[in-house]
Parts: sequence; C-alpha cells; structure tokens
Amino acid sequence: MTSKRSKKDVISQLKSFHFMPGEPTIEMLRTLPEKEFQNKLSELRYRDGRIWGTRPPNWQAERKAAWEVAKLAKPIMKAYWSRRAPQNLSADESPSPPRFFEFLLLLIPIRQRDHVVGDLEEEFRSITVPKYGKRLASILYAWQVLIEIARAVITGVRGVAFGWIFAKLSK
Amino acid sequence: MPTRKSLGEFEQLILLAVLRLRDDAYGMRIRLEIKERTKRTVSLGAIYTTLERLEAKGMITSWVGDPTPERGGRAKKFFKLEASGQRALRESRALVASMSSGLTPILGGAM
Repeated sequence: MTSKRSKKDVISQLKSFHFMPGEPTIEMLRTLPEKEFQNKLSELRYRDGRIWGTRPPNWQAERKAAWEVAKLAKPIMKAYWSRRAPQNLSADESPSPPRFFEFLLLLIPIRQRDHVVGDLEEEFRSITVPKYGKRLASILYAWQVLIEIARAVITGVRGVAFGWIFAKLSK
Repeated sequence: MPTRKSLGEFEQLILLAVLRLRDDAYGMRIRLEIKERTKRTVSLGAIYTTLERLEAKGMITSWVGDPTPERGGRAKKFFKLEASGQRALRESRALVASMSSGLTPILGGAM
C-alpha cells in the first residue's frame, strides 16, 4: 500500500504537515534511525493519509461500512419520499416538482405546511406543467416556494419583534 | 349597525372566494379565484393565515378531504362559509355602501 521513499524527500514534504502536540518534530525525525523513522512515519500516515498519497489502513473496511449504511438508508429515504403518496395514488406519470424546493418548504409553519405543499404541487402538476412545460413550471414553482418562505420568515421576525416590544413596554 | 367585527379587504376577498367556490373552496382554488377576478397574486401562506383567523372568529369551518394523486398523496383542506361569515360580509358591504352613498358623481358607478 505504501512505497518507501528517501528520508530526505519525506522530510521535505513534512514541512507542510501540521504536527499535533506530542508528535515528533521534523528535527527529531531527522535524527531517528531508518527503521524507527519508518515506524513514526507510518503513525503519521495513519493520521492523515492524504499527505502521503496513501489511505488509512482500514479504509476498505470503512468504505464497505459506509456502503452498508447507504444500502440501509436507501429504503428508508425512499419510504420517506413516498410516504405521502400511497401506491394506489402515486402519480408516477406526471412530473414531480423539484424536490430541493419542496424540502425548503420545511421552513414554513408546520400547521400550514402540508396544505401549502399540496396546493403548490397540485398547481404544478395540473396547471403550470400543462401550460408552460416542465422547465418553466419548475422555475415558477421555485419562485413560489421562495415567496412562501420569505413571507414565513418576515412574519416570524415581525412576531418576535412585536413580542419583544410588548415585553419591554409591559415592564 | 354593528361594526365590531368589520372585515379587512383581504378577509372580504377570501370570504367572497369561499362563497363563490362553495364545496370546492380550498387553498389553491381560492388563490386562483382571487387571481382571476382581481388580477392580484397572493401567497398561499397569506391565504391560510387569513383562513385560520376567520375560522377562529367562527366565520368559516374547515374539513380535510381525501388524499389525491396530483397533490402527491396529500389531503385538501376545504372551507365553508358559516352564517356569521355571511353576516359579516353583508355588514361590511353595507358599511361601504353607506359611506359611499351620494358620492356616485365623484366615484362613478362602481359599488
């Protein structure tokens, strides 16, 4: 996995390395015998494989574990996105609004969220897409989402400000 | 003439839209109705906030319908105008009519 390089090369490269407290300094490494130098070097490699062009010793296991987690997460995410659309109601044929902007709608008050998201999606599917095409409809959808978020934020800030002024006045 | 529950302009628009749409009054349709008739674009958040306020005043009632595929499986929230809402609308119109009576030469025939 690693190739031996000359001590001089390695030490010149170490000048950009950020040593942690308790780790040997460049001067100390320079004075070490070859074998001990390679041992210390491998410890530093483990800490930050990028600098040496190598990876941590257990990188394959880590990658495998990450894939396993991703595999487990996939059906959960799929269920999350489809939970609102039961199988018999799924509108697979019609285009969906941009998911990113739908995600942004989490910023609006929870009591209105479901209805606002549903209304925007219905307008997207049944009015704007047939009228303007998917591309322009997506832009309009994004614009409406931004307006809804801006409105929610302004209302929230105004509410906090009024609350603060009222609290100050009532003191 | 009772004026304790006078309605704002936007509240009147919402109530009139609910009245027009009858059994099909929900957020998106109310917005489209207002847009078609007044050429004003309003946000859904503003509509729902006003509807919530009117519901708290007892002028409208709401119920949740069945999920539909075009809404991604989400349910519609329908609204219905109640007697107190109709009364408030009548009073608001009467208020404006009484204030504008005799001003037709200046304001024109509108109202």
